[in-house]
Amino acid sequence: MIKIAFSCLLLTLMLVPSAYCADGETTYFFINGMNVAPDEAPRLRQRLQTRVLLDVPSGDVKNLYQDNDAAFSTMIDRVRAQGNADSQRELFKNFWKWLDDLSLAPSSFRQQLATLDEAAYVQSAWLQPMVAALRDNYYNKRRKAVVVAHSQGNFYANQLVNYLRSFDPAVAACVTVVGVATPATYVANSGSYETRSDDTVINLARVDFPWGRSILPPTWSPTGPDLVPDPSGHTLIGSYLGPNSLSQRIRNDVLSGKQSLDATGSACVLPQVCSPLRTSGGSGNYLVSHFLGTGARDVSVRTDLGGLLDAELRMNICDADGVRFCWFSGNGNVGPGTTFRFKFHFDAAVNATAGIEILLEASGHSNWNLCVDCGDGSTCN
Amino acid sequence: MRNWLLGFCVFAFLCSSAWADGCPTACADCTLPNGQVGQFYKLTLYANIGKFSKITGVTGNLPPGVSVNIDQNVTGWDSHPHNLVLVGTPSQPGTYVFNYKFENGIVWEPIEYIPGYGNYITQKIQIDCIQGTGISSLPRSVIYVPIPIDDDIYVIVPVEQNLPRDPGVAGDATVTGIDSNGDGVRDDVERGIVYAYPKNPKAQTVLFEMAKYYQAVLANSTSAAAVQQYFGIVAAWGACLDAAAVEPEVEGRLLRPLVLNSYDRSYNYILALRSLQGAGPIPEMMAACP
Repeated sequence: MIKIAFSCLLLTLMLVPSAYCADGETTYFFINGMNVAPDEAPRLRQRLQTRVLLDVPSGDVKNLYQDNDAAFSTMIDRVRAQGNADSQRELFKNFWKWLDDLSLAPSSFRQQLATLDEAAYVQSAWLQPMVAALRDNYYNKRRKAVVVAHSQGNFYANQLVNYLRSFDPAVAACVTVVGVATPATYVANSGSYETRSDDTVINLARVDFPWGRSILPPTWSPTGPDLVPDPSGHTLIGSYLGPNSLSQRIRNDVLSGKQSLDATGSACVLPQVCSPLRTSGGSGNYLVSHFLGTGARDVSVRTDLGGLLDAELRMNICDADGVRFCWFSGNGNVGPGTTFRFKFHFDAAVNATAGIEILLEASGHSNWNLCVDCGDGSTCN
Repeated sequence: MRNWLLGFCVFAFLCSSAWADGCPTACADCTLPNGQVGQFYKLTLYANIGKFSKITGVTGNLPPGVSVNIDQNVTGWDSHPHNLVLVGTPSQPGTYVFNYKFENGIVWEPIEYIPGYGNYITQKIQIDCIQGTGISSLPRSVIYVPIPIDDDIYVIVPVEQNLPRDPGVAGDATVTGIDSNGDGVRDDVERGIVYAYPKNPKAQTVLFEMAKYYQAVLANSTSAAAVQQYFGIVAAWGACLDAAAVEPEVEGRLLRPLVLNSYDRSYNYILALRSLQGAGPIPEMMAACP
């Protein structure tokens, strides 16, 4: 009885998460590996959740799907040329079997895959929706992102972060990557990873790929209780999420990645919420930033100008590159308390920014109030 | 050592079964197509089921004019197996019975790889017979399937279901293929699923449904909406795999190799994937698991 109770306690301790992943500020994305059908990817994501992210609400774990249709398209033409009509069935059966487990494939087949580099594996048609998903996650949902990638999905994770670092560094700073069974030579944003020492697919890639010797080394070796009935040592569910000690390591990687985003001094700064800008001033120069967020909208501006007859106010509203949306120039000759209203069209995608900068230059006996809304119906009336 | 010995015993049993049983008196399934006197005949029995599997010998009677080659010199991606090729022009009608020896090579694998998982479950041993007039007006054969009963022990059981015949090359002439019994599953796919799970009707049911909608994806590969819809149904049935005691990787290891076994089918599958670019996630649905 004591033994049973002790076993139950141990089991409970193993299942209780050591820390919490759910905080309402982080979204977890899963990028699948090669040869995963659209219906399989959600199943893998769900298994990742039940084994690693068990304290995260299901809506906070999402797929970033990719496949290899371009590479497959080239390869099936080569398969067709291999044999006669009688042998086609077996050739194509093997083609899909070998894609599923490259350790079963002859070296000539693997060499075909090894001719591609990381950038070639990553198709823009799949990468760009991932970019959009992370931008939406950051700007609209105001959340950080932990990306867990399996196998070839690591190429996508790296390229995804590289792209964001070039074109949207604010988003990239709020992304951390956890690699699983990675055939890559690095983890973007200095993320962590886990690779089994008996992962036959990765070990073959070390031999076949031109960059094979630089592939990240194994981090974990199975011991007796961790042996799983998966000959490849590569599958996400069987080989990586199966052994308790390995799935716990992956969870720890996820937690430490998340903590690095949350840490004081982290480069990750979530965007502020847009609320109508209301400010006022007198004579002098003012530079005011106003966050609007992503998307396109018509932004309303209201300016109240007061002061004496010699009061003057000039105002320019620009994007981050200095492109001017609109400008205003007035003087006190129109009389105190005069109100000007106008609108301009803002599109974060076109203007490559989520906010505007307003330069005000007031002289004389100026006295002014400025209100800029968020383009979402909030009022400056 | 214990495991090694078990592995060796399994190997010996498989081989002795293949040699000793000969052609059974009651065959549930037929795989070898008929031949005609005076007409060229060629058939390849593939051994490339496991990593080190091969066909190593033939005993019994072959039709006069037909010879057998153990093809060890195939090139390219079809490189490792030792296949058996029957080739020639039969000269006399009759009933001819032969056996071939299939070595699945299990004992040559490192011991960790022995467990009955993934590819090994799909291994099969065939004892094929050619009987009847011509080379065979009534071919008879039976397929034996190794069933894992423990981590590394197999029992060999015959498939007793009444399966449609393998349509062979004719079944691959179109994307749709041949579904002679009208159950919505291509004959060749149906056979492959049953061979993989001969004693698991739940697994068969789930995989049949997944195969049906995979086929629907292939038939509608340029319509993103249809592809999304059908993959959603495949996913719904995929959620039943655990309950049917099927390993989660079955789709890549068994189903896709079975369903996408021709150029046109593979091509349409790739088109379907491409149609989903930017189309958003597939719908979430529920299936009534068996």
